[in-house]
Amino acid sequence: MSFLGMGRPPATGYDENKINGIKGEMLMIQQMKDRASLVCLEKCIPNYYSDGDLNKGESNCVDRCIGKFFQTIKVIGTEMQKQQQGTM
Amino acid sequence: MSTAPPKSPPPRNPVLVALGIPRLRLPGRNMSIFLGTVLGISGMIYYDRKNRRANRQKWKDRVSYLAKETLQPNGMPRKVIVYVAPPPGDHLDVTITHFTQYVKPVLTAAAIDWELVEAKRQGDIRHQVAEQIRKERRGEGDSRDELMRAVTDGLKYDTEGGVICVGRGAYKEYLHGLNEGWLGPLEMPASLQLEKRVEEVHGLLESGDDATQTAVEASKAAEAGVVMSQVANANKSIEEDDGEEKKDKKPPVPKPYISQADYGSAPTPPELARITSFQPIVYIPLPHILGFLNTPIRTYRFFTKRELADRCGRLAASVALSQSRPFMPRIDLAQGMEEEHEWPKKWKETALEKGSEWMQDFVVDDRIAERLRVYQLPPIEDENKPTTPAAVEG
Repeated sequence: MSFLGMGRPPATGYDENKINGIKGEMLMIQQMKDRASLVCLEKCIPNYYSDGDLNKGESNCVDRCIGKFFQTIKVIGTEMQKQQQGTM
Repeated sequence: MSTAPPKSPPPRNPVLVALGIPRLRLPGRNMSIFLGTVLGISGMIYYDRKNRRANRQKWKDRVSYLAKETLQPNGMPRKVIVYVAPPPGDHLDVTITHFTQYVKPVLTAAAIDWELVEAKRQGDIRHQVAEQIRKERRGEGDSRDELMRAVTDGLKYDTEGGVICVGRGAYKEYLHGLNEGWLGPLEMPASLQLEKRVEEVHGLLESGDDATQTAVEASKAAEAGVVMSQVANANKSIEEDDGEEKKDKKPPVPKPYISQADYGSAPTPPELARITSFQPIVYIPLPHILGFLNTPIRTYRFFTKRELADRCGRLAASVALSQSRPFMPRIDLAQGMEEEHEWPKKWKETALEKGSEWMQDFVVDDRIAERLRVYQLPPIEDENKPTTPAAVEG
């Protein structure tokens, strides 16, 4: 949004590209969270829901699942960065 | 000779005729031997694996009721520390595989978290344990920064803990570290600092390619001028350490701040007097034997892993169920002697000459021993009976 011809300076710090970048990151993080929840739910929490609370075994399992998930994402991220830098 | 009428072929089983099998025969002598050997060995392996799995499952079922308790959202599970060290003459993988196969399943079944502390060299575990205790004594035990503090203050930790030592080496080192940490001085004593300086000087002189280092060298040499007389004594150990340094690029493990002989004469620090008991410990046997002539023993062990699974599963279950007894030096210091006899002879001889840690006297001071407990399940008459939590804990 540019205030052409009105004589007003553009609001400081309002950069279209940055906002889009941040939106993209938020979307990525949200997708990551959704994916992690889905995968770990499938792997760790059995189908018979007898109780509302998580028990210790499930808690530990979910803990480890999420930890492994993010570790994997980190590894993949660094690999992709390396490849990008390699081609560039 | 009377000519008998030609005999008709003997009556054949109509089933075989229909199937088209010409003749059924039992296998001959050679084939029997071959089949017997193959099936025999496979059978032994299969039997062993089946029972190993059954034993493992038995101990898992014993403790699995612990995993079904609810955990509050801000609660943290119980955490045990596992110390692993490579057996002499072999790699760390052996110990880690042993832990993964026999101890870890029971811990996961009981929903207990564990922290694996690996040691690559002799003295790593001892130094780490002692350093941690010294930090606590100085009051620096809480090393969290602001953010971590804000995050973890609301969490409810399980304070029980526990220590598992896999193998005799780790067991010895842990107990020595405990003694050193509580009975030893808080700061590095002067004699060790001297040695460290000498090593630094030697390190600089060895790697003196850089011209700018000469100034540093000169100053250090001036400082260490007094120390040079000790160089002759320390030369031998330093050369070995330098060889290690060039390979590992890591400083050698610091020597103990207090030696075994001084345990009895060390004063009781006030921090120790306040503590009534340490975390209970357990020693997990790690049978490991090398050598060509030991092949029969190793073959026997290969076929009888089910008993090992039972033993280790039982010890792991005692950790999970928190059943412990007081530390009795007569019995507990001798735990794992059979493992020590299996260490390679040559390794033991060189270790004795060098004064390595694993071959030193195994001594635990009384003040530490009276505060220690050891995990052990009481002998149960019929172990294969299904048990309820009440029956086990009672």
